[in-house]
Amino acid sequence: MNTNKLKYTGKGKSLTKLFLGLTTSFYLSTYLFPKTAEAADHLNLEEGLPTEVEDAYPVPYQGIELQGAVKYDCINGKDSFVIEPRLEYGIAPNTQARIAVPFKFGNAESDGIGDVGVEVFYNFNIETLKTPAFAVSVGVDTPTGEDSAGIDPTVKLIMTKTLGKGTNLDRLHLNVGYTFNDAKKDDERRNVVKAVAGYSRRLSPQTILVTDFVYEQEKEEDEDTYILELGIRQQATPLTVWSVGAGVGLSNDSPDFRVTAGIQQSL
Amino acid sequence: MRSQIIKRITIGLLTTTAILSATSLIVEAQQRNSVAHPRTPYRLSFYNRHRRSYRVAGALHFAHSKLHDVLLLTPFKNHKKEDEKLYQEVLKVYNKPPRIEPTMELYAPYSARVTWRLFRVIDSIHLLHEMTEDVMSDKDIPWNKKEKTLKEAYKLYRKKYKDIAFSPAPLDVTMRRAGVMMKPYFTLTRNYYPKNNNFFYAAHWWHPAVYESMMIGGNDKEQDEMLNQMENLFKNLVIPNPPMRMLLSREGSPRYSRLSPETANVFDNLHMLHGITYDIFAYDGWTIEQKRAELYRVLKALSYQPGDEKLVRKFTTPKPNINPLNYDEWVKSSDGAMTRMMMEMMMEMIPMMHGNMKGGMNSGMSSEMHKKMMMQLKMKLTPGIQEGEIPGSWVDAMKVLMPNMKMSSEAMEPGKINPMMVKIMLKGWQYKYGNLPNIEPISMDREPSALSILSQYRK
Repeated sequence: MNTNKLKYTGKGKSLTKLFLGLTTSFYLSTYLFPKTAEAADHLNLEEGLPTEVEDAYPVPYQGIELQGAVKYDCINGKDSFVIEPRLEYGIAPNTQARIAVPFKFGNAESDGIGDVGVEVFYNFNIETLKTPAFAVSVGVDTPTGEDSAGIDPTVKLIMTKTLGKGTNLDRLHLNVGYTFNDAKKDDERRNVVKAVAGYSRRLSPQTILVTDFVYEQEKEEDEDTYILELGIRQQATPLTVWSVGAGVGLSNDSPDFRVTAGIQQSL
Repeated sequence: MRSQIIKRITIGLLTTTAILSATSLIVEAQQRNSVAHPRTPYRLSFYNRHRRSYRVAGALHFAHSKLHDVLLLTPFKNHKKEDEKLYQEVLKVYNKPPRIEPTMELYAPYSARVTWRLFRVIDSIHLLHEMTEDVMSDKDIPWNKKEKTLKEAYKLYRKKYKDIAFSPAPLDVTMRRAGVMMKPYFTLTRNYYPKNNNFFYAAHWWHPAVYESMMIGGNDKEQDEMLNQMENLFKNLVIPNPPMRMLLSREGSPRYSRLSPETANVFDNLHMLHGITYDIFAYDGWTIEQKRAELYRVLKALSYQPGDEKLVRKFTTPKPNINPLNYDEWVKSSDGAMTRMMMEMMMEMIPMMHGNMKGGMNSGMSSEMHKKMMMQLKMKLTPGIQEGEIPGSWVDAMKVLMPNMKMSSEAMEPGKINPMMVKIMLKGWQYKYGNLPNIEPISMDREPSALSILSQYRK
């Protein structure tokens, strides 16, 4: 999701759009989707909730989940604040679709809506004692943000493997993503890579610890970020999961530090 | 420069790992096929109204989940130590239960990777438990609409999980289809892991007791009081001194079984599946693959088969007016429907076993041997090892009793069954119960009052 090129709409307007977007999503999902819902699942890692890594499993077939991810980055002493409402739906067995609308605030960049992202996620297999679980996601970022151009497709390979006997549900997750920069500018890369290695562990019946190492190429040439993140996911009710996390940048191009929070609500 | 090196190493490592892992993917990979839970108007009624009981269910399901991995990952010879260790953990969790009910995978990640279909089956029926408990808890569903709503809940379960839905036929039928008595694992868990086994017997008292407390309490606040009293009883009397058999729904919740026989039978079938699974996992004579083959055969045998609808009311209720708050000797005893069923199945198989005896015993089993065998079976069906009981599983005991008996190799093998044996047992059931009249539905026209029962406990 490119949130770097953002259209200025004014904070008030953006907040109104955010509210309207969430409300519309809620009512649409209530009336349009079948009468099913899956309990939000703290085991099912989602990007940005609270760390970048995701696992190889989708929401169940016909499951609907509203998500809200909030990310604060301190970049060279400036503030970047992103609120991203999302809607996930299990469109077919082992397959989910997601739409995400980022809004950005703060003095690091212009305020406003970012690139709206649409993604389809497919899981190939369950994990066995020898074989990890694999999934692929294919998505596009549409140029809804200011100065954004072209439709950038992304493909991501996702792997989840339980470590050892998995006594505490220790799991390793690897995500490798590739984005094609459709409308490349002079100072931008054509091919953009992001890789995440993560680890999760059950701390209690309701709590999952998750940590990851993120390597991300920015669209701008020669800008690469390295971030180390740590967070927890907490099952608050059978339908609600909340998450909080923090991260620290490991290179000059990376944010100084990051704080994340999120909520997932099954409908 | 440094960052370039880190970048290249990172990309190289991740790409190599991804490619190597992807190549090991088996072509015929299984998928999770998880299905979202039905979004019903009564969803979470049980959670919102009876939080104490909801959390107890979470503790029981923790225990169920964890025992899978303990049995698969620890050698059978350590049974005493492992039984005690897990039981202490289970008690700890019961005293501080999870706030949200855990799925099977959460405490049995090893088993989840070996037998995922089992966990789909268990979690789907736990969902059916939740749905039926929600229906009974929801005050907005009038008493005379409960039956209709429960039927709808059952239909939703059948529709959502059509590939794995369990049979609504009574356990008497499905146990005969499963044909597990002549397997080398049968009775191992109850005999060698009695503490956890008996905790599950307590859990299988608890589930019917929840339904029956609701059936007696009605929609109003008496339901809350009944459930609270039931939980007190469970904590103070049932857990420290569990029943010595798996109580069936028709025994512990006769009113509910008449109201929703389909779901009551599915619950019995699930509870028996737990026992069979633990026996298979405890048996150390088979590889993981063989255990899975056997378990998946059992899952198929316990699953829905066309025509099962006609059998849903083919049972009787020995104590139709049972008070779930009265934990008496009958409830605690090892004698009951479950034991009777096993004894019947054994009797049905005897003529066939005779034909297989070396040297021929065509004149029939001596009455002395018959008596010995049934006495041993009774001991094997009782948790723990009794005085005079032959060690090992039920098949081990039979081999000692009748060394000349030639076992059907097909019946003993993992993932296989002797179809003739199943046919003979089903014929036996048909002969005994085929003409049993369907049990009458229960009248839900008037909401019941639990005043007379509760008055005894209000002092």
